[in-house]
Amino acid sequence: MSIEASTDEIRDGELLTRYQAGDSEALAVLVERHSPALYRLALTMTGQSADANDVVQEVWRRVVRKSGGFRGDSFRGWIFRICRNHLIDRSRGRKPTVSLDEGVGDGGTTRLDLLPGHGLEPDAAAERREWCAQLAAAVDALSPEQKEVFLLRAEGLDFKEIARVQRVPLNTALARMHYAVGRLRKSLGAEFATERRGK
Amino acid sequence: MNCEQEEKRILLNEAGELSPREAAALAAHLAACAGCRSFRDALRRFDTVARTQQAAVTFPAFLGARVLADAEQYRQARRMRHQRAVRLLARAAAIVMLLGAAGGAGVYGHWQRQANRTAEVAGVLAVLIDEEGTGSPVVPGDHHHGLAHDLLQLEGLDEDLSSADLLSLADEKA
Repeated sequence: MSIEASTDEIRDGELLTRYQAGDSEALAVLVERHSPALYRLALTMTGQSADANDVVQEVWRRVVRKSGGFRGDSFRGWIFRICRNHLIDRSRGRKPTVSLDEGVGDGGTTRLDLLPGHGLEPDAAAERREWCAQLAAAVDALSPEQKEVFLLRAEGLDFKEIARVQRVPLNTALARMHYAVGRLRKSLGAEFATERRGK
Repeated sequence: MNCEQEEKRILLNEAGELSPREAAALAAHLAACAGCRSFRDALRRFDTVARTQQAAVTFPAFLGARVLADAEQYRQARRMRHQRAVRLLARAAAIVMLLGAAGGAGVYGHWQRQANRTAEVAGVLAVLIDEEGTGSPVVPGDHHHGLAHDLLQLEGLDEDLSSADLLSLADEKA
């Protein structure tokens, strides 16, 4: 494939078609485009970077093997659905855990170390890291369905896509997010919820 | 005022999924409802923190390469399976063709033997019948062939019947 200057403009569906026709580079673009979001979702849902790696790899394995099965208009929604199905499969008999002290990469970096705060004044950085830690813990306490909606939304999926991923009506996806926001507000308190951006 | 419905509209609106008319109606509601404004502000706050939090998670560089290597391995294995299947299919087709040819040859051979036999009997009949009484070799005509065919069919003669047997049978018929 001749990768043009703006590969972002090539639609996912077209890239998948090119891949099916034998263009390996088209798959590389798709992997680069969507893997980080898959990884973040998997990391939050499994709580372990090694598990998240496995999940991402398995999702793409399924994409490659079932690429002919893509019929929808949203490739992103399709791969998130595959990811969700795989997470459900592997979670049977397992209890997912999230630990902010868990390492997420080489060199002993922990999830806590990666929380936003770099480049801010020490107090502001510490405060932001604290918000993130609080939110991560509160999100982890949500039901799996509510957590999924929250995370998928944070990844930029709209509610129609989220509903397709979860195979539920739009109203159900909305209700899950509504409950999630309610629970987060309750567990994080009014002070967190009313904090202004940029503080 | 049903604020639960309005809060769901807020969710849709923040995702850009409300029509301009619905968004305007929601804006009017928000201007008058502190509870819904609080819900919207909380949602935005969660979004901001969650997105910055997620953006801070580093995607392992090796993982993309591993995914692509895995895909390439699968593709090569699939290509080999395909080639093997094609080879097997070609062999199967060749076997079928050979069997067909052998069967066809058998049928053709049987038909050919029958035709030869009919011609042979027709020749004998032509000599025996010698309708014109020339006493010289006679070229068998269509009716000789017809008779020979009927003779063979009616008598159920064995293909392996010798010419001598045929002549004696022909004598009897004559």
